[in-house]
Amino acid sequence: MTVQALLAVASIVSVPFLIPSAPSLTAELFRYGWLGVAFGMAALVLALFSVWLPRGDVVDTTVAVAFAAGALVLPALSVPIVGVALVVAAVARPRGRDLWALIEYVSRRGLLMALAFLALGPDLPGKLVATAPNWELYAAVGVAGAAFVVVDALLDQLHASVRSQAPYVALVQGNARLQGWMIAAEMSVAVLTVLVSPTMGYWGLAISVALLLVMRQSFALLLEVRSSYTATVEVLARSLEAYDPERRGHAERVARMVGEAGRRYGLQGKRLEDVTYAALFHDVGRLGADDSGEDAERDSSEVLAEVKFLGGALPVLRILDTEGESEESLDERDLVGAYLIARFDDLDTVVNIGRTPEAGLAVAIGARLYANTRRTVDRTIRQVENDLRERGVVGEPLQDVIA
Amino acid sequence: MKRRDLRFPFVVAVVVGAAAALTLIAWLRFPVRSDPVITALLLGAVVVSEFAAVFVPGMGGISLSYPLSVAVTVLLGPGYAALAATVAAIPMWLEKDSNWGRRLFNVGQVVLSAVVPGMLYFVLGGTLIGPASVLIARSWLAIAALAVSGVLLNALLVSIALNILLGTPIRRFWSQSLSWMFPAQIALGFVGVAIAQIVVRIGVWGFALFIVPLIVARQTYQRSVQLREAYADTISSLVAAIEAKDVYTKGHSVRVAKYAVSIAKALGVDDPAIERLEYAALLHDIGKVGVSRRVLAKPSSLSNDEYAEIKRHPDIGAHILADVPYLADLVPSIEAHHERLDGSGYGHGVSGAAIPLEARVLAVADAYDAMTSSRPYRSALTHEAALRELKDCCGTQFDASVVQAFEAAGVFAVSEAEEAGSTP
Repeated sequence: MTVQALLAVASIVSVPFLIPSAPSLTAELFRYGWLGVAFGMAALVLALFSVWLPRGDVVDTTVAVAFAAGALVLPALSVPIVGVALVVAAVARPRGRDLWALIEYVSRRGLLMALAFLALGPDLPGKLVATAPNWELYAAVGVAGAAFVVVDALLDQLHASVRSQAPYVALVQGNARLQGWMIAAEMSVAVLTVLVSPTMGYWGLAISVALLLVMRQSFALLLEVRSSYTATVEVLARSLEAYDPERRGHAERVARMVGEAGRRYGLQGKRLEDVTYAALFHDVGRLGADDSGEDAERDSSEVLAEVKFLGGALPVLRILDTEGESEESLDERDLVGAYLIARFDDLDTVVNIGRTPEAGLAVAIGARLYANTRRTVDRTIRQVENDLRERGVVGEPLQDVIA
Repeated sequence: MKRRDLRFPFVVAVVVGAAAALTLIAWLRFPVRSDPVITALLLGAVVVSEFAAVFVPGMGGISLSYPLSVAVTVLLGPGYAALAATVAAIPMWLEKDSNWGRRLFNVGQVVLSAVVPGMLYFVLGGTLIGPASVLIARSWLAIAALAVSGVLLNALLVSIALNILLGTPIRRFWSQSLSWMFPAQIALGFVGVAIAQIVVRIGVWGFALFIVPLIVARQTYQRSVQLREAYADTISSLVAAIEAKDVYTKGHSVRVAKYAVSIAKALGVDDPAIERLEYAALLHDIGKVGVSRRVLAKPSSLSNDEYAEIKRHPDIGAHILADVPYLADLVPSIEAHHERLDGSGYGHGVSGAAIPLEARVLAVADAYDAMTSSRPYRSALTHEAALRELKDCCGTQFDASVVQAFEAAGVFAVSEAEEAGSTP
């Protein structure tokens, strides 16, 4: 909250200082007034169709339009119009964003838009429609567009870091892996929108919006399919435990705790998801063993070997299956995942099942971790344990934990 | 006339139509611009995008060559659009399992889908885009006609071809496409105009700005298609892990899914419904996790209370799946898979047409697999004996048309009894 409030106040204070340094509002109003309104409408449409990620942040396709509006239209005009559009969209689709986060989001955009205008200078549309190509100007637009999108993304991750208590650098790295191409695409569209709008007018803007919506649609489809996988896999994992009343809910609880600790430790994106799935299925080999005694208990990694969707969880499960005694060199992050699962498996067995855990697994895997890493992981585990004991072990639904 | 008999006339009609369109371009002298660099760039991009097309089951390949084709039309003229379309057909031409009819159709349909909208664009007043063009405002009707007609003509030809070749209903293809494919493709058509504007204004480097967004859209779409394709595998592996607890039900749901899919195909059910039926079959017994293992594995006959417990499993299964949005539509068929036509089954005691078709298919597939598998209290029946039992119960327990479809499908179990070389 404090960081968000500071950023919001800094942005709000900066914008009025930047806006008067631009040319006469009256002249600009007549030249580009309707273009400003068009940018506002585009921002509203894109913001209303934003794709929200399960961990609570957003794939925000409005950034390209915001840059173009800032670069092409006087800030005194563009900042309030785009700001109102973003607020209207946020009110229409709140999705849990608190007031300070919204104020910071809108004021940050305003600040960046004003800076873009100052960096590229007044009458950019006039320079862009000039007959002769101006490569210096095109390059400046490219650099400004890239800087706009990157700074906006970095500030956005600062909020995510405060909200989720995850390390900032790890969060940025995870986001770069998850959305890196999407961010690069937004940079491209931001620059395109500026280059196309002066010559093609509103049609150029409509085309940029269309391109952003196509990208958004593909991403939303992917998230929808992934979310159906997550929900299905969770239900089947729960069903696996149903035959064993004593351990019912154990895997899901362990997965939640591992997810929370993994995020705080700095695991992100796909890696965090894989570790959480490994936690969800860490007992699948034992649970799936038949009652006749004909088939011996199998390794969990072996049972799930054919499930491509869970392929990323297999290295972690293999470490658990072999109790960390594999001869092959192990990825440190997989070891961290396996260690977290072993530790929270023990914790849940003691706290919620009321039994003594099987000794040795966490110790054996911990022994394979580098000393420094293990100390950091242990510290995170202690923090999560304390927090969980304060608010009860069962937290939010697992789907919200998986990023 | 049978649908298969239409193959040859349809291919001939498409090829002749394409040839006629090319002749018209030459005859009517549509505008043309010669620019070897831009031509090479856009044609190269068309080939790459066709090689990188995403294959969607039931809908064919989806590539990003459409916006490029539109860009070629408004930049270089419909003659070059025909050339781009021919180039776009190269990957289809090189397909190993293709035949001449298919190859000729592919070339004909991509040429027609590029050339006819291109001619329409110029007939409606469109002009070649120049460096200082602010022509969109003047030519919006022509551009809209170009973007929309290209998508619709392509969809029309592909839907007819899929109908003739694979029996895919034309209406289903269009209803699936209308939801998001058409809007996305039409939007990409307008993007093609922007590509043309940027390329002609700031040169071929401007084209690079379009590459990343288009690749991102393509990659994310491909990933979602791949994930969807692997969904049934994921469910069957996890269900197998659940069933592994009981030596008598191991593999039951996977086999039921196999039979159910065969029956559905024989009944002429469309692909999306078959996909949903496969999921329902894989998960039809998921509710048994809520039934005591002692009851499930009891080798002797069940008491009334024990049978009542068993009868709860369709409801428990429905309850479990109702919480999963993507699977919630399977609930009615899972709830009703033990209902009987005469109303004497269990679940909610419905009868006749009130039992969903999917549930009637599941009932036959489930019963057949149960009969051809060993149980603690009896050995497995042979295929013939099981089929005879299904036929004997038509009209009372099973839907006769479903049993007929099962027999026609010809996908039968090799029962344990037959494997052992004995008869029950």
